[in-house]
Amino acid sequence: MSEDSIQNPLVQMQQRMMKIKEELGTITVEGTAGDGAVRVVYSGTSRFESVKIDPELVTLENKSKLEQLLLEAAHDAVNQVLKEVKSKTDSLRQEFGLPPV
Amino acid sequence: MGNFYSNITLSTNEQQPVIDYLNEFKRHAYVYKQDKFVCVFPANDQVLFKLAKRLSEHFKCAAIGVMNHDDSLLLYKLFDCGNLLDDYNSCPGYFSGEEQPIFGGDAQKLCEIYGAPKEVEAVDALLRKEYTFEMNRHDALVDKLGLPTCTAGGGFSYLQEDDGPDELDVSDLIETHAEVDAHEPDNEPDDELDDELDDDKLKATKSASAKSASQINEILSSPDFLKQALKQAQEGANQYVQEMLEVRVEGTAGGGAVVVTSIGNLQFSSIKISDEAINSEEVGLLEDLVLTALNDAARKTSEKMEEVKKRMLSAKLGQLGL
Repeated sequence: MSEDSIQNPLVQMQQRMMKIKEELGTITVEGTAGDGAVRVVYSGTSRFESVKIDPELVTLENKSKLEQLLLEAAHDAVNQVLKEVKSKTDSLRQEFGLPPV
Repeated sequence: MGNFYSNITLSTNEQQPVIDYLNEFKRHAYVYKQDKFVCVFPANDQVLFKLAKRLSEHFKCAAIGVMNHDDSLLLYKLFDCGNLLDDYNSCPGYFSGEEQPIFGGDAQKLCEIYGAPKEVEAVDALLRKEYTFEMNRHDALVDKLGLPTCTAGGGFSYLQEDDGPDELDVSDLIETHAEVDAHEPDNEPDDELDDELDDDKLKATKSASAKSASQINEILSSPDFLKQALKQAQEGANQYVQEMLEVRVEGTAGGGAVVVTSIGNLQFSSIKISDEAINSEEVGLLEDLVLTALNDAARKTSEKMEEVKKRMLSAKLGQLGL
C-alpha cells in the first residue's frame, strides 16, 4: 500500500472497520430464557454454536412454551451481539467526527 | 466484505524458470506449484493481465489471469502462447451501475485448453449463471477445468497474512523480488502491450480507479465536498438499512420439523416445532434441529444482505459516476 493511502482517513476508517469485524469474530454470547431452561450460544461471526433445552420442556403440552422460550433465547443472543456491534461502531464514528446513527 | 484476489495459472511445470523470469523483470509475487501448473500471485494486480500475457508468450503455454473483486465481479483473460483466447467479465456494469449482460466467456476454448472436452456445457452454464459470491463461480470453474484449487480464493495479500486456501502450504511459497513495489511500476517496456490489452473493459476499470483516487483527493481538499459526500453516504446507508430491515427469511431443519422465520438482521419472529420432533428421550436431536434451523436462517440472511449491498453499491457508484 502506498504512503498516501495510509494517511487517507477513508482508508484508515475502513481498516478500523475491518479490525472491528475481526474482534467481533472472537466474541461468543449466550442468550437464555425461562431461567436458563433454554440456552442459545451465538458468535460474532453470525453463527449459532449450540442450543440447550431443559428436557422437561420437551413434551407436547409444553411445546408452545418451548417455542416461545427458544424465540426469547435466540433474541437475547442476537441482541447482545448487535449491542456490541453498535457500541464499537459508535465509538469509531465518534473518533472520525461523524454523528451517531 | 467479499473476497479480493487475483492470480495467474500457467500450464507449465517448470517453476524455477518462472521465478527467474519474475525476478528478472522485478515483479513482486508469490509463486506456487500445484500438479502440472505454476500459480503466480502478483502483489500489484494492475499488471495482472499484462503479466499473464507476457508469461504465456515467454513460456509458450496457456495462462489464465483471474481477478475477483469483492466477490461481486469476476474477470479472467485466457492466453495461449501470448494470444488472447477469451476475455470474461461477470458484471460489465459493475462500475457504471448499469444492467449489462455477462461479457465473454468461451467454454469451448477453456475446455479445449484444459483438456476437459466433456465439460463444455457445464462450464458454459456456470459462466452464465447468477452467483451471489463470485468466489463460488471461480471454485466451480476451477473444479470443472481441473485447475489448481488454491487459485480460488488465493491472492497476494491473503497469502502474506497466511490466510490462503487450506490446500495451499504457505511454506512452499516462493516470493520473488520483494523489494520492488508500486514505486517503480514502469521498469519494463509495457507500451506495446498497452495497445493490445487496453480494450474497453480494462479501460473502464482503470478509469474507475483513477477517478476514485482523484475524487478522494477532492473530498479531502474541500470541506463542502466532504459534507456533501457524507450526506450522500448517509442517504445511501439509510436506504441500505431500510432494505436490510425488510429482509425476510425462513430457516428449516429436518425437512420442516423445525422452522424459524426472521426479519431484518436475525430478528426472529417465530419458531415452530412439529409434534413429531417432540420426544423427551431425544432432546439432543431436537437441539441439533433447532441449531441447524437457526444457522440456516443466519446463512440465508447474510446471503440476502450481500445481495442488497451489491445492488446498493453498484447503484451508488453509478450515481457518483464511478
